[in-house]
Amino acid sequence: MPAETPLPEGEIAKRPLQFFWVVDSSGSMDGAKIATVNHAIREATQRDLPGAVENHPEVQIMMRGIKFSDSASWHVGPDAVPLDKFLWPELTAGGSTATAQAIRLLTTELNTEKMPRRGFPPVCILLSDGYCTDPESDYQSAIEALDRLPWGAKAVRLAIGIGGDKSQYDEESLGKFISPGLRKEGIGVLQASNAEQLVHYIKWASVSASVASSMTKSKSGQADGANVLLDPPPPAPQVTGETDVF
Amino acid sequence: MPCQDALAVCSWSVAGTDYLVTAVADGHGGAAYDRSHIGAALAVRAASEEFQALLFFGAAPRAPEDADAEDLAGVTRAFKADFGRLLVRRWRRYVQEDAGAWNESAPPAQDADTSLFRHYGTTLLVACVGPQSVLVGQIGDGDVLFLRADDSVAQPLPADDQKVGGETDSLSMPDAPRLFRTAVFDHEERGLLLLASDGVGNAMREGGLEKLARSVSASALSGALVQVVASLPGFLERCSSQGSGDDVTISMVILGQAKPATESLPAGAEVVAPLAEDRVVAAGPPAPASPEACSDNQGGGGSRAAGPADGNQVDGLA
Repeated sequence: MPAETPLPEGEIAKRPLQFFWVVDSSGSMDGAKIATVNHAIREATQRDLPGAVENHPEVQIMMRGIKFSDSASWHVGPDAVPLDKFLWPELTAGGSTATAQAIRLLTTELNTEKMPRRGFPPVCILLSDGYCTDPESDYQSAIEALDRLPWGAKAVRLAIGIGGDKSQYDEESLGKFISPGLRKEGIGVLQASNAEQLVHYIKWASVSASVASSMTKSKSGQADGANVLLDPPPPAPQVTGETDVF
Repeated sequence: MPCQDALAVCSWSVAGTDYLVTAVADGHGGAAYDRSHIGAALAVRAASEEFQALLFFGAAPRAPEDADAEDLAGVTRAFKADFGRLLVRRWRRYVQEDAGAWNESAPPAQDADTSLFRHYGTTLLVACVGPQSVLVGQIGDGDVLFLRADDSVAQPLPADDQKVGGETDSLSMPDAPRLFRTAVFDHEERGLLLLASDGVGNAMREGGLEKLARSVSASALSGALVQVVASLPGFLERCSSQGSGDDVTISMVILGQAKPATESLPAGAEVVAPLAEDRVVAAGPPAPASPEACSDNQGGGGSRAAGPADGNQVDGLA
């Protein structure tokens, strides 16, 4: 019997990409908004994202979801679920808008002790249709804590504002959630005025951010700009009738 | 896009003492670092030559009766105090020379002017193994570990937890001399030193590099070093395609246990020029086997093979 050929050991594993949905489930989201969010996230995670990373077998997307209304809690988590096993549970709406608490919950998971060191920059997508009901100072300090974390600063953070016009949600506050590097590149809050635009932006944000994160190259600490290169969002479908608008 | 990793392995005998130097560099890649593959190749060249200069001029003269004793005190002092600064200076000079040939209209870069050097941005790992000690230097990401005879693993230069998501220190940074970290430690008769670009560590679960080092060491102990080295190219290919999606380079110095054979290895793997029978390097990425004292290579895919070298001593500076 021939001698067994020795092989180098050490388990090879896909690089994890931690993905966080941070979704407003306050009372104002009730009806078409929350129904569209549920539908679009399912479409994105079951069809669009798997297709987008099909040619990147080295990437493993790990999904989690945070919901916030009177308080923030895990909708999916805290244990992350691989994309191919992820199912978005029906999210219902009711209560106020504890956005600051949601960002703090996100921040606890981006701690260097909890994040896999070899992972790609995490992707965090915030969806909201209103104004944070936590004290303004809490929101500001939550954003600052997120920015201070190495993984928080490196994360691809995008925000989608849901409303027929920008006065319906707090664009300035949502804008602070966006990665500082992406803000410098001109990426702002994505305004979804109707269901079609909301689906469009949920799919674009989740796919583009994940692909961009998984293409991340090493970058010297001196370099300016975003650590992840993201193309500007494509134009959203036009609103064709007043009845479509949220 | 070319492979942005580069590798060098050199060995010298200085005043009767044998030294082996190996270096791994990882160019940053991406549009802003469009000449980083050259930057990486220049980095391993600069590191090897700087060690050569350090060893030839830094080691104190010894009496004939002390010829077997390693006199690293002066070398160690100079390594810790000056190596980073001298290495960066040499690398910048090579970059400027290359840039002159690349684009003669480019304005000459000063040390404070990083715009040129950024095109060539790269990390660097370098180690010098002497009879008793190991000198290790690093700027940027990548891994250096040492497997001791008692099976414990040391990380002489632990990773910086604040650098995540692809952010790394770089030879192209203005304060690169300060960011170059060094460590010196003694080794026993047996052990294994491993240098790997971040594409290897990023492809493996936690503890993967330690397992790799132990498996190669065990194979060397059982006389199967060549067989395990032959399987390294396939292993590294899987690291890239199924793990990190990055360029991958690994260099290992095995102390006191290798029995290299001369049979052919598949393209991509190499047992390189040991100075003595008990010191061998297994490495990638590939290049033609080189019988010279110092071999640099750069590129992706494939393997290389070489038996024990017999002409690798250098009597003076190249």
